[in-house]
Amino acid sequence: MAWKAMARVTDVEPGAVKACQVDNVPLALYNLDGEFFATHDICTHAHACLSDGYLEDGKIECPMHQGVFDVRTGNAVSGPVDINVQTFAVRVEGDDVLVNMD
Amino acid sequence: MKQRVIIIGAGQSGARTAAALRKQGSTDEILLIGDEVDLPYERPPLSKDILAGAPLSGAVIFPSEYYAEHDIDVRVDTRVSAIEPASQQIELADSSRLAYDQLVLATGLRARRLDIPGAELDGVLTLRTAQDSTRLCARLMPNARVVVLGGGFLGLEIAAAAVKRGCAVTVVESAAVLLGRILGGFLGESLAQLHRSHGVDVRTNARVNAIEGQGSVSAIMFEDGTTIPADTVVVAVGALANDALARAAGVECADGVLVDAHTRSSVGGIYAVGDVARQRERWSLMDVRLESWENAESQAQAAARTILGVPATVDGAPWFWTDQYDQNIQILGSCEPDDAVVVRGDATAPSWCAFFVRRGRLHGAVLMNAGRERRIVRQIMDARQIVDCGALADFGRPLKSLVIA
Repeated sequence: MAWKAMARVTDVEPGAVKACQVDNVPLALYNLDGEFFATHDICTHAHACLSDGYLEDGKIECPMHQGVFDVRTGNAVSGPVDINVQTFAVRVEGDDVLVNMD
Repeated sequence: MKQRVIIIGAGQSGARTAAALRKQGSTDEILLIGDEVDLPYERPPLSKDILAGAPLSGAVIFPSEYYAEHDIDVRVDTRVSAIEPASQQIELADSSRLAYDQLVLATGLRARRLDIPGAELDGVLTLRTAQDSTRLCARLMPNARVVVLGGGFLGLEIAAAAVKRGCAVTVVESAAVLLGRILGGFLGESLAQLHRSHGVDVRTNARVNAIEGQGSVSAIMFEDGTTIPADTVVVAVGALANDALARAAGVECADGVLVDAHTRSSVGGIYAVGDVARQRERWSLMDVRLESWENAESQAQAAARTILGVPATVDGAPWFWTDQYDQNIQILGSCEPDDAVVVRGDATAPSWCAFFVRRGRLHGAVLMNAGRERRIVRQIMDARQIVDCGALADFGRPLKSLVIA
């Protein structure tokens, strides 16, 4: 298991999303009421960063075409997206959020 | 009994109608007929990524297996010559006939051409299809002199792409300000500056009288007789609805097939979606024909549901985006010259919003690198609630707090 530092816990407030880069992979880190989740940052529909999107009720809406993904599962839930976005396991260790890149 | 749905036009809206029918559980026979050689693809990248050299595959909506897996009979490179509503048949160019139970028109647009001398010369191009885009892309060589006629969104995106490829680019716009018709001149000057800062020669109030050349284009001539040399001329002066088939069949048209909010035309069993459809009423707008990705998608979804007897309407503020250089500009609703303009944030900063307020309601919005705000802005617009202009302008106050639940 390759856990890598992704961000500081304080980098992303509850209800917010932040773009991160780990092993040259663009990731989006979400804070849902204190619980952290990570997905690939690039929308599966077109080249846009989900971290620039709108986060509500655990769902992220892509800023380009309104594709909506469930942040916890990566499932494409509405809009023009048919392909789920990849999710990554995260855990908090001290002040750090770690991501599993395997 | 199994019915047959025929969709004429295999662009985004046609393909998405077919897919939505299947997704909604339709077991009908579905035929998707298009006159282009490529499988359905999205058009926005044609004036962006494809001109930068990206392959068409990135714009293709579904891989070819999708159609087989979903039992959608997709026929490319196939032309329809007539629609006969009385017998519920269509005729193909090879004179064969096909019967339909429901017919969806997704025939899109064609580029408007200029009626001036030299418009037929080699090197005078328009941009509507993937083939057009590939043809233009091949001409965007370093130092090539490219003249874009028309300073609308398409013309400006082409200019941005050509400059990135190292071309010497001139944009010629006959109006005094860029995008005056759409944005009431609000963004025109700053967009002209953006293009100039990248080296584009932007000429407003300029009219071209002729395109010159022996066989292929060599120059354009302005109204005052002056000329500038050109290796390629791109005519980007708008588009016309491909509604001739519908008109000949007695379907009510007015530069577009007139449809209601359910995408139904004036003839029973015939629907229209996407760029070719002119919706009689949408949100606070009347008789709008929207040339946008969002409209193509929304009407496709509504048509599929309507065909299946599930209530669905296309409503809410229209939405559109353009990418030029590193700017993503999104426009919602309708921005008109006499609307009150409220700017949120610093309009010289990379990211800001402008709101167009009409009779106390949010009527239009420009989101400059601010796609994140779209959802809330749209919510406020769709609710047609009265807005507080002071609060809209207050950057410290989240837009979410303006929503009246």
